[in-house]
Amino acid sequence: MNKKINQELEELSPLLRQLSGQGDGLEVPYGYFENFDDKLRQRMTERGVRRHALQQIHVPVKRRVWPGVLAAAASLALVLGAVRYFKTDSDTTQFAANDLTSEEITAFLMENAADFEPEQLATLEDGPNENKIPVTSPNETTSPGKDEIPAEAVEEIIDEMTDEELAELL
Amino acid sequence: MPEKTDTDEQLLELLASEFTFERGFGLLVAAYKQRLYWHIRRIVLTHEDADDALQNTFVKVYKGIAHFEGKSRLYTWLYRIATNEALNLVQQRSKHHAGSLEENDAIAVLKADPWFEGDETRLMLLSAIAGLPEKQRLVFNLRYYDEMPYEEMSVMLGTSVGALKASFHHAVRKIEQSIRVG
Repeated sequence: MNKKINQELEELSPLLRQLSGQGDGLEVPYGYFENFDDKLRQRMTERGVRRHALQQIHVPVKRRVWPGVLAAAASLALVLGAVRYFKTDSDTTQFAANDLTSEEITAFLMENAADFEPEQLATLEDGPNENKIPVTSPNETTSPGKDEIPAEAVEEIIDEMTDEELAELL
Repeated sequence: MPEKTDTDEQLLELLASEFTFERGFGLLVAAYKQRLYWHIRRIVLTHEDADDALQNTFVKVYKGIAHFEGKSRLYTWLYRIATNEALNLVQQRSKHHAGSLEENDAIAVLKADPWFEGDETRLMLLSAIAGLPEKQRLVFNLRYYDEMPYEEMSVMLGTSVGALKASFHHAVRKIEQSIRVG
């Protein structure tokens, strides 16, 4: 008998602990368990036992549910990622760009020059804060003269570009 | 008490398919027949009744395995079906208490059973167990014969560990007293 249970019984009833290792006198006919399966099948046949449809059987959580949960989590992550990606492209950049300095925007343009049309690079905003440049969409109309980049700024950008970058832009 | 989790999963996989259901059911019967038999036998006492209740248990399992929800261990589900089958049989024989035999009735039943070969002390022990209230008897059998930890029993019976310990202690004292007096 289990040591813990033995100890528990010893404290509660030494008599029962003593009896526990000696069997309870209940016996089964010889070969009962070996023949049980056949006997059971016979009873089921005699009674015409039929089982329910199997679609409802639940296999333990460990095997069946986790793959489903993981698939759902992966799908959710994919959707959130896509939403974040498209939101960033369409809205966020435009608003955040208003807070950037011209140095930061120049650096960004230098790194991503290939993504812009030359005419996009040639737009700047006049205004109290000349270090800030609004980012406009390619289709947005602009007043002539108002959004032109000052010659100094263009020269500065061009000076900092390599020959390959210039060739790519042109 | 051996953990059956891996085996249970394999059995349920087999039982989940039309092609492997019969094989899975055969393996389930082979895996649990002895354990369930002894659980039932200690409630109904005679071999004939135990055999009847065990067969009925597996018939119900065969018909209802599709409703097993997997929220508990497979044995817990089987144990509940077997317990109900056994208690129904006892109830049919009991004149006074639902789900338990009077000690004198139990002695008569055991003496009439050709598959009881115990001495006078075993006769007193089994009849004292049979005379316990249903819950105490189940707890006593699970602890004394199946050596089940209280934690596992708590999940199986939906009772707190403290309450199970109290039940077991009460049962032990009653049985000892009954044996000594008898």
